[in-house]
Amino acid sequence: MSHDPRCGARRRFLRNSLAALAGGYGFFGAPASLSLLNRVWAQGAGDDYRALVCVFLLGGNDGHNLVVPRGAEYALYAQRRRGLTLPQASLLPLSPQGWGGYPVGLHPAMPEMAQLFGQGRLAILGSVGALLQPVTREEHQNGSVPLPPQLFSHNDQQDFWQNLEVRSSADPTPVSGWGGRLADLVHASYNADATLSMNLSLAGTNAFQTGHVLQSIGVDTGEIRAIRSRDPDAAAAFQSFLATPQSNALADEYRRTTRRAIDDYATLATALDGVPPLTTPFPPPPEVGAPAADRFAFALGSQLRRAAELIAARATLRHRRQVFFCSLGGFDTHDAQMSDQPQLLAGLSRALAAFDAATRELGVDPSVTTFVASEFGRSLTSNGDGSDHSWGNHLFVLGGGVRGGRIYGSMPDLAAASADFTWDGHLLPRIAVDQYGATLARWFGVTDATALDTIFPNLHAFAQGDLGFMQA
Amino acid sequence: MRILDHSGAAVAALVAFLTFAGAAGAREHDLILRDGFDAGSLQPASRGEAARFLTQATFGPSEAAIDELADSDYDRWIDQQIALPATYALPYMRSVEGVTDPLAHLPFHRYRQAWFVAAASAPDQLRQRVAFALSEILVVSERGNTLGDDGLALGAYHDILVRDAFGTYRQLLEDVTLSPAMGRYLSMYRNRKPDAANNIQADENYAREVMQLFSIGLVKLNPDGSPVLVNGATVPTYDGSVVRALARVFTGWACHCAAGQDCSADPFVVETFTCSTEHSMVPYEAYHDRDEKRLFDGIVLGAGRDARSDLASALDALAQHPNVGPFLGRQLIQRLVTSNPSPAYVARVAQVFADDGHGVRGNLGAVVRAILLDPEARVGHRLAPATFGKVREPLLRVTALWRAFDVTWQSDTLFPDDREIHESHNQSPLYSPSVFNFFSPRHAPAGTLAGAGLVAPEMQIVSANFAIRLANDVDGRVFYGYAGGELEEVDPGVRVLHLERWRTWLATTGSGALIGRLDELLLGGGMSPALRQLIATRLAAIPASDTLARVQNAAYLIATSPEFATQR
Repeated sequence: MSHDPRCGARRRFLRNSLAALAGGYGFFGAPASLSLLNRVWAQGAGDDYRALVCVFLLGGNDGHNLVVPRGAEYALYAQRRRGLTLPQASLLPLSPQGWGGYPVGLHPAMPEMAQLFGQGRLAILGSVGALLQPVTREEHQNGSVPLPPQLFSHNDQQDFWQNLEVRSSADPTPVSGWGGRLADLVHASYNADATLSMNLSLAGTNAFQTGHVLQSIGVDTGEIRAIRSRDPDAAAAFQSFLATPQSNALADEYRRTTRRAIDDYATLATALDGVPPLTTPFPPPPEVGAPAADRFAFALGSQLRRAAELIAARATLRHRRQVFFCSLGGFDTHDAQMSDQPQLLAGLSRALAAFDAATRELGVDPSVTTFVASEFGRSLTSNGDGSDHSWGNHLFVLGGGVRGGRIYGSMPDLAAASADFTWDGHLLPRIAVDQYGATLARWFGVTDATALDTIFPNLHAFAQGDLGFMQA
Repeated sequence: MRILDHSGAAVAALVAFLTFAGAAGAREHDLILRDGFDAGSLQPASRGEAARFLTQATFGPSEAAIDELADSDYDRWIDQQIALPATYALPYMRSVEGVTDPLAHLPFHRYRQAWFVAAASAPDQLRQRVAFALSEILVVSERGNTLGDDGLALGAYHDILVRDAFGTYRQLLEDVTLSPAMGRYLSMYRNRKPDAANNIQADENYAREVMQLFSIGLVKLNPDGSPVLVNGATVPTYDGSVVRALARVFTGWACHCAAGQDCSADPFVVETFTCSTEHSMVPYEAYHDRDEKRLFDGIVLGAGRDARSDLASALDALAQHPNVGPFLGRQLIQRLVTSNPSPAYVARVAQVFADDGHGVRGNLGAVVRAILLDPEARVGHRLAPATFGKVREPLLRVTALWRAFDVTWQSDTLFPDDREIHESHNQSPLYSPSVFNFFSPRHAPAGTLAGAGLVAPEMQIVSANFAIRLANDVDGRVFYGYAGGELEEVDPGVRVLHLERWRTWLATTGSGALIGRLDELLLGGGMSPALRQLIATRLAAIPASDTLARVQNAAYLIATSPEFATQR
């Protein structure tokens, strides 16, 4: 497998330009990075607001049962999937506009999402996945095209989805995520007076929001805590000590983390205090013995509710651009898929529907786009009662700014020996994560080609830099 | 000078290390010898040094444990620990739950209770600490789909790690592979041979993760843990075809049916829940794939072999792979001693993994000894003070406080806050969010550490919310949950810290000596002058007669400090 050294050099140059913003990379990086910032800055005028919400399905959701063939193609689907087949009558039929492919339906556990599709607020991306450049079945078979590293490993693919970088072990530049690079470029121009990072995680530390300059802040879904002690003088002494640098790098990391947490949470608590309660109902805590779907709906719904509150607090936070990261685990359905996946998708659908309603309540629905991600798709074939790690997948994006009710990309031919699958049965992605992300980033306000190439290092390898699923 | 043959390698390494440490090292060499570090006897030079060792080898030093170690040496202490009878979870869980039937359900909170009791008080601390480390490498979690509230399966899994902690890696790998908990967690349980007519493949889950996470990892490693590079690129240890072949090796295993028990004859057809989740899985040959299997590095398992022989050969191949020593050794070093071990340290440990000195490969007891007696473990904090050490795991912050302050409790039942400890600490035994553990061994916090090429795995779960909660937890235990404090009235299950001896000590010796003694106990004697000054100033503002407030403030300011947050 060969890498074009010019591409590698180009990627490194762009990455180093961005890294230079963080300081520490010397004077020579500065002009390029400043010019990048200026190009984005020029686009940052006005007082519009926009937010991107990443919902990451951990484990690899089985897209073959998210968007399912109907009609003539259904027989092929059933033949290939066997025990993983959903009854055709149970599918929620979709009527995509301008669609030349076979008829499809949505998983029956997701009526809320089918409704949003019908309202033109949700778009499906067919056959999307991790790619460095386009690859055909033949090219894959003879190994002539470079592929992302460790395609079927959960953590490696979660990382690649979120950072889009192929790293040599000798590369000293710190890794960053595309949400982090995006924020590095737009934060200063859109959020000049911000009191908090625009990269807000409702699901803990993640690769996606790791920037060179700006770091994400983890926001709890419950109480926003402060340091408290039965002895306030003790607490004051503890906090004052956090100003003293530690000579050990790990201790100092802990010190900075704690100090930043205390400051950020004080800002957050004030901002959230000023937000009137949302009237939109979100999924309640599950009752004992309730179906698992209730648990999933609550787990994700709590994150999305807090995201909605942070959107409502955007004026106090002085944010005109926000990026949120949420996640839901449990999609690694090697086992018992036909009982587990419906619960997961039902929970997902309910939580997303509540969030969509909340953005309408706040009057920001054209300005908030939620996009669904997952580290990989799953095998078309069954392993008895589940599916295994695979590659290409079907995903979706929703919000008032989405040109919805449509399918972008393609749905695969499910015949045996189909050109849409690798020789060993994995769905070939026809859309790269870079294209998916770049379409969102353009809508978010980054249209400069160099800036987009910096954020999406593989984008240049694909003809279509904008998939068209966002309104202008 | 006392050198047992099994520790001779460690001592020789230390001597070589001190001899060849270079100019900077030579100064340290002098310093170390001046401080009385005796390379031959491996005796702790001070109470602080003993506490440092116990922080790496146990759930935290107590005054009594320090005294005991101070009268012994590290090597003999390890001998004694290895010789102690193992403390198991299941017998305890059955006893407190009042059941004798080996198949009776045990709620998961009983396991958590067993873990906390053992961490706080079991004599076989080294075994328990190593088992905990292994539970974060060979991960099984209650949060897996099929293990919800299954204290029986999870308690049995824990006991495998306890039993095998000082045994061979090969035995550990087999016991883990055939445990019903792992079988369910990574779906090898009831994994059946491919069925071409019905387009069914073997389940790849366990095959993939046993290679990626439990044994050899994704890329070929040098003995020092660095990746093998060919033309600048890493070399994969296996590809998709190996995963598919190994998936077929792990076919045909399901639950054991005890004598006299009413089980279905074929658990692959009808899943029965009466099967033991304590006994190892057993083969059902009709579901085992007997075709040829091609594994990594040209290893071929010929056609026609039964489930047990296929499994044995595949596990042999994994255990013999040259990656295991550096792959597992580096992670065990990270769990016990330091996040960023030098390649030479990893290589020394991998060498002991390869041969314990008696020709045994994968002797985990010898590996643990090598990790703890290594010169880098013993003096790394002086040779590389800026980078040595690790962030304490949130759970280990709690156990360290408990053990340091002679924790007692009236009833083993956990106080509600500790029963739901994952909510305040983002960590709880056998409760990882996925098979990738609570944190990744390669997690590098963005910014300074990532820029310096350093990892700090535990920081992955210390997000903003938890940084605040961990500090507040110290407040709760020191100012509220101490013997004689308010919380004691609330619930008999509460673990209380004992501050009495420290109040006496304070009254006898004064604030300076109190701070010094707590520094030894909690920070291994490594307290910075700035922290010492902070505490002294704070204590001086409290009336001398209020010995309780002074002790509480000293303990609180140490245990919330960034210095206590790391072990060095």
